[in-house]
Amino acid sequence: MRLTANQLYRYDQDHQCGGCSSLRSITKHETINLVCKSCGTLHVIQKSIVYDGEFRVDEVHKNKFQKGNSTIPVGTKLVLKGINFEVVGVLKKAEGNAYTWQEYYLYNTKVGYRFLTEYQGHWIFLEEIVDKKHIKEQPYDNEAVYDHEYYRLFSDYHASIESANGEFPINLLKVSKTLVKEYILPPFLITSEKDDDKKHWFKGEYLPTEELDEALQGKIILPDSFGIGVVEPYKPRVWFTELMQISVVSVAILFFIHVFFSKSELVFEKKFYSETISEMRNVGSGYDSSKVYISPSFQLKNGNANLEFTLEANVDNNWLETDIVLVNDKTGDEYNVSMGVEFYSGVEGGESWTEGSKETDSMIEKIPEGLYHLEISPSTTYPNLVSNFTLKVHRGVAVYGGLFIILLLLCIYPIISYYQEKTFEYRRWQVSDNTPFEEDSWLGVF
Amino acid sequence: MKINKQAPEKITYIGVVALMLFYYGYCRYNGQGLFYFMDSHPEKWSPQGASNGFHHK
Repeated sequence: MRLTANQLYRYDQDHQCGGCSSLRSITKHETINLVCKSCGTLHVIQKSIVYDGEFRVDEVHKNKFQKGNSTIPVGTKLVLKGINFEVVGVLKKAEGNAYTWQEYYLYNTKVGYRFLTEYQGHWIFLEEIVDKKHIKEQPYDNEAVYDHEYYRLFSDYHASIESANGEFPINLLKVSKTLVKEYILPPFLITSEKDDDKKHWFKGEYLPTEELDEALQGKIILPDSFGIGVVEPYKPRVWFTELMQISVVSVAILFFIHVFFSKSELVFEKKFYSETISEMRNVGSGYDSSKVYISPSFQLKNGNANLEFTLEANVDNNWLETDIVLVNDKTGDEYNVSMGVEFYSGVEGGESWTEGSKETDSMIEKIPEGLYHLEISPSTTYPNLVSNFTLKVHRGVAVYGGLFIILLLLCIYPIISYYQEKTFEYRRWQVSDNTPFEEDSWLGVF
Repeated sequence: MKINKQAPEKITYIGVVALMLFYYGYCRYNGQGLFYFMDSHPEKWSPQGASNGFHHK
């Protein structure tokens, strides 16, 4: 029997579409609109108040909507939140030419309707709020309060229907006149839909694709998500707070290691006076290898460690250089280091100037323990001799370069994580006209 | 059974941090810098012939 206006029909029976004659049945007594899958013809119906189990067709709008493909077909059964649902209707909506999304009408005999929306692979599960007294809109602040929680206005728009298929408990002809407002508090949102007659409120929650996939028992391939969902919660692989906990512990261990192996010990110290230096110098070359100071032997302990040589000389408009050879008394291994200091000062153009330094240091790494002595060969200017110089040798000196490198490496991941966390909200709100972020925010730098 | 997808990343990161700390400790224990293995160490001369380029006077 063809569905035509002003006729009565029975539920759960096959009828011919008013547009294309394909078979259609209406199973839900709440249905107001039926859209033919084959031709997009809209049937406006209402439940008969006289005859139980019958409905009346008020209007038939032939080819009103386009045919469209949906990810989840009408008639699909799924178990969401522990409830068995059937997909009874699918709408593809659009806001201008910029955005399109899909809305699924789910039905369960006991709980009634629930809704699924999908945009860029992000899903939201919604249900209508029956008790609206807990909702309070604060339009001047772009906020709404629901159950003592503040939701921020994300978008407000009038949507149009691009395609439709199935049974709907709403009048689709009014959709384009309906003002929709979305307030978000990720992973939740509340939505108001206001037409000429009344206002409906819905509350929704972000639905992870994995959960929906489980609800569909893997029978339908869901689209990959991209971008940031309107109420998608921030779920990094490792939370910033967890990284900070790891960092705090690791930095503590790092400093412990640093301090533990930085027990600096003075193993040699000698002050050389001008007589010694004069005796060791050679007038022609400033250096005489036969005049080498050989130190008494000293013991280096505790395995391998570094040695730091510090040269401090009373240079004044002259210079001093010295070759130092550290010799292992037992093995004959030698470690060579050359050091020099120079210091000049004067007055030029009424201004005093200085250049150089009176102190320098040099380090040799990984010196094994053992008995050692030093062979020191200094040279200086003639006849302006350096009056004295001091050589100190420390073992196990703290080195800060490696410490800072490790600290820097430990900071990299937490810094990246912090930036990602901070920019997540910024990027979410970039598509909104009501973003709480300033346009020139540093969060948008990278 | 649901798998906590955060765990492998976290464990990997802890592993990398532990390796860094171990290497730092190893270097400090040996009295060497982090890049000691990259240096040619010309300052060392050994009578056994492990010269590394330093020529004895």
